[in-house]
Order: sequence, then C-alpha cells, then structure tokens
Amino acid sequence: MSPGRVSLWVRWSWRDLRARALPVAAIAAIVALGTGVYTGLSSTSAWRRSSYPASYEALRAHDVRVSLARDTFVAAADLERALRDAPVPVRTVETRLVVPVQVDASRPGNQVLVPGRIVGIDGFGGDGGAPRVDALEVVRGEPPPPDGSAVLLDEHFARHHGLPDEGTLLLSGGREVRYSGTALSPEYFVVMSEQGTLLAEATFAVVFAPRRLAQEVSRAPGQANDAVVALPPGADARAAADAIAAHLEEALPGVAATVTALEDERPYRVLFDDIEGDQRLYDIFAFLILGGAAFAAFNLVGRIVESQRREIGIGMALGVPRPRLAIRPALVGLQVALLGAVLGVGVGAAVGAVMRSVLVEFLPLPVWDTPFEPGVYARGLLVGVSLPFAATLLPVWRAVRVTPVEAIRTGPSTTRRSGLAPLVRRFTVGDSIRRMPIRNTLRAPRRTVLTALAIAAAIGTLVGVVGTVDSFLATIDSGEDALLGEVPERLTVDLSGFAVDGSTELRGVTGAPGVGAAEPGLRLGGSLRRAGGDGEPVETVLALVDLEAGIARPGLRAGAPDPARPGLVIAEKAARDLGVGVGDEVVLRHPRRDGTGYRWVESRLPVEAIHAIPYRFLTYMDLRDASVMDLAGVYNTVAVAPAAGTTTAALQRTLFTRPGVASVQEVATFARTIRDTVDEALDILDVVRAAVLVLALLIAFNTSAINTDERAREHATMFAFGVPVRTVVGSNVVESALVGALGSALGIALGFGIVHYVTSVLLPTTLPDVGVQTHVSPSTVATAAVLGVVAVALAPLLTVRRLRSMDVPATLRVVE
Amino acid sequence: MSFVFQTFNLFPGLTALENVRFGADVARRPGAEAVAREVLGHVGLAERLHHFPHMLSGGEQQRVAIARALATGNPILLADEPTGELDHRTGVQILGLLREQAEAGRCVVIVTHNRVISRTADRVVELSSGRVVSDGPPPGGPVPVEALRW
Repeated sequence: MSPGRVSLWVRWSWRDLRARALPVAAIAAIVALGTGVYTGLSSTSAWRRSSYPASYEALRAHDVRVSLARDTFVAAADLERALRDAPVPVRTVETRLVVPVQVDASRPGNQVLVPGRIVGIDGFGGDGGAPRVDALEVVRGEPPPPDGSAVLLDEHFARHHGLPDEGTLLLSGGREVRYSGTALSPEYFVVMSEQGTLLAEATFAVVFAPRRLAQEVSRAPGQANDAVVALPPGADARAAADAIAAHLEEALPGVAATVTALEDERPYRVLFDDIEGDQRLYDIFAFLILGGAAFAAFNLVGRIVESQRREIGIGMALGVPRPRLAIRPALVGLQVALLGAVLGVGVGAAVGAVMRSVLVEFLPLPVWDTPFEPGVYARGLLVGVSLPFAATLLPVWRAVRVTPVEAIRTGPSTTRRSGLAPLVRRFTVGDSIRRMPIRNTLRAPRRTVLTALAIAAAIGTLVGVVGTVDSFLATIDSGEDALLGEVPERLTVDLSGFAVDGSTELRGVTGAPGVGAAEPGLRLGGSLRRAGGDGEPVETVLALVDLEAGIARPGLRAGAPDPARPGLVIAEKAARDLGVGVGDEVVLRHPRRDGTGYRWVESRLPVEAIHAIPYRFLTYMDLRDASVMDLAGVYNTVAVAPAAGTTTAALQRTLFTRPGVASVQEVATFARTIRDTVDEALDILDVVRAAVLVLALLIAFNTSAINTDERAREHATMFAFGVPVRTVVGSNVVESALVGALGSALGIALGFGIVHYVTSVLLPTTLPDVGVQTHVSPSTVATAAVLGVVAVALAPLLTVRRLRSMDVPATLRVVE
Repeated sequence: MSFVFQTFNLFPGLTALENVRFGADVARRPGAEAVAREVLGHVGLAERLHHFPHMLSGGEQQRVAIARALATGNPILLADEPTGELDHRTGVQILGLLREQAEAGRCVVIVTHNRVISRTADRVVELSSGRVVSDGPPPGGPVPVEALRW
C-alpha cells in the first residue's frame, strides 16, 4: 500500500477515534494504568536485583557464617585458629560474640523495651578500626569513637521507632550505653529474630558494639560464639561451609556449630526470593488491569465496527479486499492501545518514583541503584499495546467476514436480536420500563460478560490486596489466641545463660516481687526433617515447657502429648512442609550436653501433636523429656505470670533489672506490633480502594457511553413517547448496577483466588516461617461489593448531558 | 400524540405484549396489561404476545408498533413512512390498520414519499422543499386501501 493510502486509513480511523473521544479516553486511561503499574512496579524488581548484590559487596559481606549453639562459647583465639586451619582458602576471619540482650530505648511518652542482641565485633571502633568482614555503614549520627565508648544501633529498629540519631540505651542488667549513630550491616539487611523476619525490626533491636562490651554483658571475657569468613573471589561458599563444618567437629570437639554459606542464610534468601514473589504479584495485578482494558477495548471496537457495518459492506461491494477493510477499525484499536501505553510511561514513572521512596524508606541499603529501566518499559509498552489491540481484532475479523449483502441489508431482518432476554420473559414484575434493565442486560450477553469481567478485574485487584492484609491479620489473631493460651498476660524471660534449679539467677526471677506464677523452661535452636526423607530441613526453636499443665503450653489442633515417651508438638505449617502428621516420626537436630560443652546430635522422635500457632519455627517438647538433650534440671527461660494487682509492664521493668536476665518480653507483643503496623498502613488501602473505584468507574463509563451511543434510537423512542430523562437514566442506572453486581461477584471470587495464590504459593517462599491462612473478611467483601455496584451504577449519570441534549427527531430519522 | 416509525423502533428486550404495554404504561393507563392484550388482539397478534421483535416479521413488527401507539390512548397518531420497510402486501395490511383507526375517530397523520399511499387519505398536504404546495382531498377522493397498487 502506498504511503498516501496508509495516511488516508490513519486519518480516517483517527476521525473514528475522535468521534468517540470520551470512551477512547477512558480505555486509554485504563491501559495507561495497567502499563504504568507494570512498568513502575517491575522497575523495582530490576533495581532490587542490582542493588542487593551491590550492597552486599559494598559492605564486604561474609561468604560463610559460623554460629555456635545457644549459650555455647569458646575462646575467640581458638575459634579463629580453627577456622584458619580449615581446609579451605580462607581470606579473612572475623570472630564475634553475639549475645541476647534486652534493649530499653524508651523516650518520654514512648516505651520501647524489646529483646535484641549485641553483636560484639572485634574490628569495631576502638578495637582496631572497621570490621574487615561485614562492615558497618553508618546511616545517621557519627561513627563510634576509637575508645569504644559508644555503640551503633541497627538503622531498621531506630527508624521504625523514630529514635534520634544518637542517644542512650539501657541494656538488661542495668547497663547504660551511648549509641553514636545508626548503622546497616549485611547480616541485617533483613532483620531476623527467633520469630522470623516478619516485622522483626519492630520487636528486635540489634546493637553493634566492641566485642569487649558483649563479653562484659555476657560475663564471657575472651570468648566468642560466632564468626564470619570471607573466601577468595570465585570460591564455592557451600562447599567451603561443608568443609569448615567437618573441620570444626574435629578441631573443637564438644562445640555445636552451624556453618552456613551466605546464599543459604534465611535473610539473604528472603531478600532475593522476595523479588520473584513480588514480581509475580505485580504481573497479576498489571495483567488484571490490562485485562480490564482489553475487555473495554473489545466493547468499544465492537461498537465501532457495528456502526460501520454498512460502510464495510459497501466497501466489499466495491471490491475492496477484506484485509484492507479491516485496517480502519483495527487502526482504531491500535491507536487506543498506543495512546494508553504511551500515557502509561508517565504513570509508570510516577509509580516508580513512589516505589523508589518506599523502598529506600522501608528497606534501607548502602546502595540503591534506581535508574530508568528501558527494558522494563519496552516490555510494558509491548504488553500494554498488544493485549488491548489483540482484543479488538476479534470484532474486526467478525465484521469483515460477513457477505456484502448481509452487511448492507436494512429493514426488519436487521432488527436487533434479543440475546438471552427470552430466558426471563416470565419475569414480569413491575411495568414495562422496570423490566427493561434486566432484559437489556441479557440482550447483549457478550458485552455484559466482558464489562463484568473488566469490572471483576478491578474488584479482584482490590480483594486481592485487602484480602492479603486480612489473611495476615487473621493469622496473627489465631496465632495470638493459641500462643497466649489461658494466661495471656504472661512474660517470657530469657536468661543470659543456662541456670540450674535453685540458682541465684532462677531464684532472682521466680522470687521477684509481682510474680504470680513462674515456670522455668528451655529454649534451644535446631532443625527438623522428615525421618527417612531427604527434603529441606525446617529450622526450629525448640521450647521445652510443661505440656501437661504449664502456663506456656500451646493450644493444640490435633493429637495430644504422650507423657509416657518423648515426642514433639510441631506447627501445622512445619507438618505440611515436612509432609508429616500426628504419629509420624521426624528427625530433630539439636544440641546435646557433652562434658562441659555441646554437640549437635540427631534424635528420631514421633510427632505427637500439632499446635495451633501459625509460626512454623515453634516446636514444643515436654520439659520432662529434657534428658534427650541431657539437660534435665537446666533452664534458660522462665514463663512468668504477674500476680494479681501487678501490671505486665511493671513486672517487665522489675525483671529487666534482675541479674542473669537477658530479656523480658510480653508474649502478646509480637501480635500487637504487627497489628499496630498494619493499622498504620491502612491509609495505603484507602488509596487502593480509590484507585479501584476510579478504574471501575472508567470501565463502567466506557460501557455506558457505548450503550448510550448504541441505544440512541431506543432512548429517542422513549423520549418521543414522553418518558422523562430521569426515568431513562434511572433504568440505565439499574442496568449498570446489575452488571456491577455480576462484576463484583466475579471480582470477589477472583480476589479470593488471588489471596489463595498469595498465601499458598507466594508466601510459603517469601515468608516460610508463617503459615498464613487464606481469609478475606466480610467487611472486605462488603466494601468490594458496594464499591463495584455503586461505582458502576453511577456511570450512566455521566451520560445525562448527552441524553438531555439529544435531538430526538434527528436521532429517529437516521436509518443506520 | 403517538408515533409509528418507519423502522418500528421496538424495544428488542421486551416481548410484543411488553412493547405495547409500554405505550399504556407511559400514558399511565389503568390496567395496562389488559389494554395491551386487547390492542394486540385488535391488530391480529393475539397469538404472538410473548414473541420478541426479532422473532416477528416486518409486518408483525409494524403492527406491534401501531398497537404500542394505540395503547397510549392518544387521539392523534403520527406515522412516519409506516410502510417504508415493508413489502406491498404487508404495507397494504398496515395501511388498512391505520385506516381503521381513522374511521374509529382518531386523527391519523401519515408522512410518506409515496403518492399512491396518499390516495387513501381524507386530506393530503403536499410539501416541497419545506413549503406547502397543495392541501385538500386526493384527486378523485380517497380510494379503498385494498385497491392500491405500487
């Protein structure tokens, strides 16, 4: 085709486009939104893929980490020597002392009293300069002075609680330390406590300090229990970790050590797995919106080719080839898609700018590389153009497929068909005008379904987002109930080391004023795997408590502990991940006392019950079975209930100052913190609701505009018979509300599907510690339904002006 | 005044009975359903009450349109090219129906380009370029509808 003819088709289609400017603008806006959401959010994945490795490299992150079992220490020099002697090419070794501690960072009017840990680093401040491995990036305040008189506070924790750049902290045991600033460490790019990564930055404080301070707090001078190792570039970290583990068993007998390559550490994996999980979610939401745009574009182009039916027929009769006749309506679809996609670049840039500030705020890293991503935008443009354009090809193809005589024909044989309206011919409630909405809805079933699907895409997005939050809250609530049990106000006291019956530390806690009931227990690290299976082990915190009548025993979902033999009570999520049930055997890897030290051993134990707490890492065992670890009569935690008349907060403060106490935490704190944080984020949900409202309104407006155009003669006939505009509009509102109700129902079902996908497919990868249940609250369903129905029902009001200004005789005179 | 259109303009989502009932409803006539049934019976469509427009022939559709106009009970009926979309035999039937209405006392105004049709009228007003060029009975007086040929 010559350039002149191409120009003719383009100009002609451009006129078609301008003739329907409003619906075209509505569809372009939806395409722009979908493209923008895709490009803006997908850019963040690209930024994260480049910024994470750059951040690890910038702070000289370790390749292998060695952690000794809880309450196990060795001389720092022995640990360093053992590591240097390992049969791997070790480049640098940094030994540390990591000890649990309670941190009081309270300010007037803001109590911040949480458990945490001191990371005692050899190369810190006065101990010889910056650490050679896992360096610290000071974000706010000043680097620590060379004399070691100040510490650094983890930036995540400080930022979450709005703490000043520098200040003082009160540590358990009554020691006050000054922090000179806040810092980032590669180990804590994602903060992880014993309770996993979920909002750990709120409930867990990491203090970076000279090792000397950690040794003083833990009363372990010269000792270490942790080391980070840097290997030469290109070394196989996993193989090195295995070799180091094997070497340590021989070099440090009686020392239970866990050796992990960086790429196998949970925070590292969470960071990178999160990118893929989030990207899948972005894809879903972007494609839902673009799907809505595609359905809307299908409706519009369908209407355009319908109105051009006779022109197409005349073209056929004049011998114009069908493909050439298809160019004009197809060009309309292409132009709408192009317009929307180009606008989407701007929307994407805006979404990207918002996401950039969100990322930097919520995930502080030393390197955030956030350039314009041409590849992402090219992909977004391609999807944004092709999806709506492809949707327009079907009506175009159908239009040029008919014979010329069919296309040109007028008269009674072209009377519009009634679609599915005959199905409800016996539904005769009200007068004839009241029957019109449901009949019209069924009269054009394809358009009704496509509009409903487009609305469903918008509503599904809303239910997907809000339902995921609902699922979190429901999980937290049920977890809270099961965790708190019959004594919800109790506290968990962590001792700074093992204590035996009758020891000063234990008596100091159990006999403290305000203590109503106190039950010593044990908490140990370990892992579970299926007996006889070779699946991925599940890391666990093993709590030994009185499962028969203790105040800290968990609520059970299935099975019951057997007092006659040792066994485990595991989480439902752990059971699911391991593929075991009550009565099956699992292998528990745990520390066992060996002389004056500990070693890792494996014990085959039956699963006797499943507890109702959703946190996978929590495993319970009866305290009477502590002999399995050779720790009978030895404790490192105490569950404490306040006496009548004593508040939990007061008891917490009392216990905090007791000797030998590492931390005191209210059991309900975790659930409360998550709920508070989610409450703070509810404003974002209002933005989502508003966006969905606009989206649904755009989609519905598009349909209303098409209906107004297509039914002009029907409306004119009604006006000719004296029906007022408000009655016609009212009928259209009811009709739209019916479509809105159908779309909302489909959208809610779709939203449930999205939430199910998020909780059962995405979260098990990105948040493996929590068995998030699928739950969409009734208020979310109600909000979605009301939004969907109301937004769509209101759309015909936007066509009132056109109806009011209709030239009735002219409209009735027009044949086609 | 009620209208009958060249292209019928029936509501595709309503049955014949409901389309006719629409006329009675907008005129707020009591017993609209009964009125619609009666009028449809009068135009010979008592057996097609529950058919939708696309299930009816062109003549039947126009008869429904006339019934709808009659159901309003309005004294004036304006028919714009009522036979324009119809074959001769059906056209004659429709003109017969309209003639019946005129003889029953309604004022029936037919707009047409067909001079043959105008011969059935009692009075013919001829317009050309928007101006009245003649006004009076057709030459030779009105002829019976059955006698028309075009």
